Amino acid sequence: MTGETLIQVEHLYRDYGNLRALKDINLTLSRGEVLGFLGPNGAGKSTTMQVISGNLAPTSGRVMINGHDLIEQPCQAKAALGYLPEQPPLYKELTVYEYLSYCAQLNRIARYETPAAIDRACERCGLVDVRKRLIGNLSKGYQQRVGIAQAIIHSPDIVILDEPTVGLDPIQIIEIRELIRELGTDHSVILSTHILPEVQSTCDRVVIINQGQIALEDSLAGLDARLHQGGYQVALANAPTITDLEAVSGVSKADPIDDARFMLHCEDDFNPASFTETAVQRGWKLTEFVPQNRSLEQVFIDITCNDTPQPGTAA
Amino acid sequence: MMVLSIALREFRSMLNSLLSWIVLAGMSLIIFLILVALVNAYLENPASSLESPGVTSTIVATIFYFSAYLFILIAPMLTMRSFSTEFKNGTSQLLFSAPVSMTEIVLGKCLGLYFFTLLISILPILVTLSLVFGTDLDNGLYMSSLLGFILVTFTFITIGVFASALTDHIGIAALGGLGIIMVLFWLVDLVASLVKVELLANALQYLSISGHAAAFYNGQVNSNDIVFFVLIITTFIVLTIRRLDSYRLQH
Repeated sequence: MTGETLIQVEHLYRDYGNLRALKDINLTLSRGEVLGFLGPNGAGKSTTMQVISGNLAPTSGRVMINGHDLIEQPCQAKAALGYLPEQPPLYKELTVYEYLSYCAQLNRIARYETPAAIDRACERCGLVDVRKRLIGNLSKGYQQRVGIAQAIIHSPDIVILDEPTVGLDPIQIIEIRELIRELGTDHSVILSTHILPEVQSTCDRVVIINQGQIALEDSLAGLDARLHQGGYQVALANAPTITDLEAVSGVSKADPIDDARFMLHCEDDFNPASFTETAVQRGWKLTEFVPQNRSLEQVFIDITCNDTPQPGTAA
Repeated sequence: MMVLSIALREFRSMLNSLLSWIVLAGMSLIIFLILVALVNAYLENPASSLESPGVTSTIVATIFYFSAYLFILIAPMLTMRSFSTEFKNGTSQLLFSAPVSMTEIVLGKCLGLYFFTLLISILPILVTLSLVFGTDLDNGLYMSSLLGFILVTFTFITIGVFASALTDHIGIAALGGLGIIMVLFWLVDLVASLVKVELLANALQYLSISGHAAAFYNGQVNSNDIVFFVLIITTFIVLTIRRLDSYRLQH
């Protein structure tokens, strides 16, 4: 599955007048990988997506797609690419079917293969029932799906989705996420978003960008490890003193929440199993033991508010 | 193939637009009124001798001439949306991220609008052909007037497409197109007549669209004029392609 590099972005810079939107962005995407591209508003997510999709020329730097330079061999490079911009590029006066068949032509799908390609895309995106309707009359969620269908109609190696779940209702969000996960099985996906659970539920690897620079690049497991540094909330019916609790190996600090509940801040060598054993042996009457994950939001804020970038740092 | 796909979509979106039908309706009304006026004038004072101009010259050529004039206003209205709405709605991103070259995009857009222009030109053609029921037409003069009309309108359309690629605001696109057309159609003539330096005056005169169109309505098909129209259309197509390339750099 993995190994082959589909996208290679090297030393990408992009200036808007005096504003430097991207500073030395380096990225790689392997086959079959779902890459989450996270960042606050204005961090440069969309700019990066636009550069990779060929909509924006970089000020300097190089984008290689499937071995083709995006500037020198644009047609070969773009053939491997499906792109859903922030605002889906839809012609509202066309029906879903007409629109998708135009997209199929633009992506050089042979005429005799077009109906099958449209059927496949409609099926994957749940558009079968609306394919004869005008795009302008569809709801926002369906329009978003049409946008995704457009990006995958030619079965590209790489699908780039820029904030695909913005403005959707919760059910539609779940459906779109399922679709993205499904896409990840046979396409490589770059998913740009500022919604953190979306990354947790869909991505293999995460890149966090802030102020035009890559602030963190990590696997999802690595990111999860960062999240587990939060500690545990315990409830003990027969509560010991704080000092007793802090004496347990691996516990760095214990904060009382109420008479029976404590928040344990832990070191790396803390072992939950041995803690419960200790609690039973000493008769503390353990009634609750809840791991307190640091929310992804907290990790995110820690990283993005930290002014010194730390590219490639692993947890 | 790719050019044709883009052209057909552009053509269909013209057919779907209310504006194009209003333009068609307005134009058919105006052409009809001109026909009535011209036929009336001709009947009151018919050509008596062999040297005087015939029906084809006084009516047919004049109708094509006026229809081309109407296109000074119509062309920017038809073309103003071609690129500006794509920029505005973000659909340009569909084209730019597809494996299609800028040249194919621009040629497709222009071709689609040329198709629509040909559809519109059925109006003056039908109106003038209706004279066949009453008289004989000069086929040579008819064809040269028609050719002149088509070359002039295609030029206007290409200029309008270029203006539309300059901005994502349709109003500015329309005004810009109108402005460039006015300059090349009239203003260069006017300036040329004021300029004292002969070389400059001649150069300006050469740029005049109306000057190159005039001969067609007299029944002359000069290769010199045809080359001029081909050159000016090509120039604006190339300018549009350049403009789209630089759009990715700055927007």
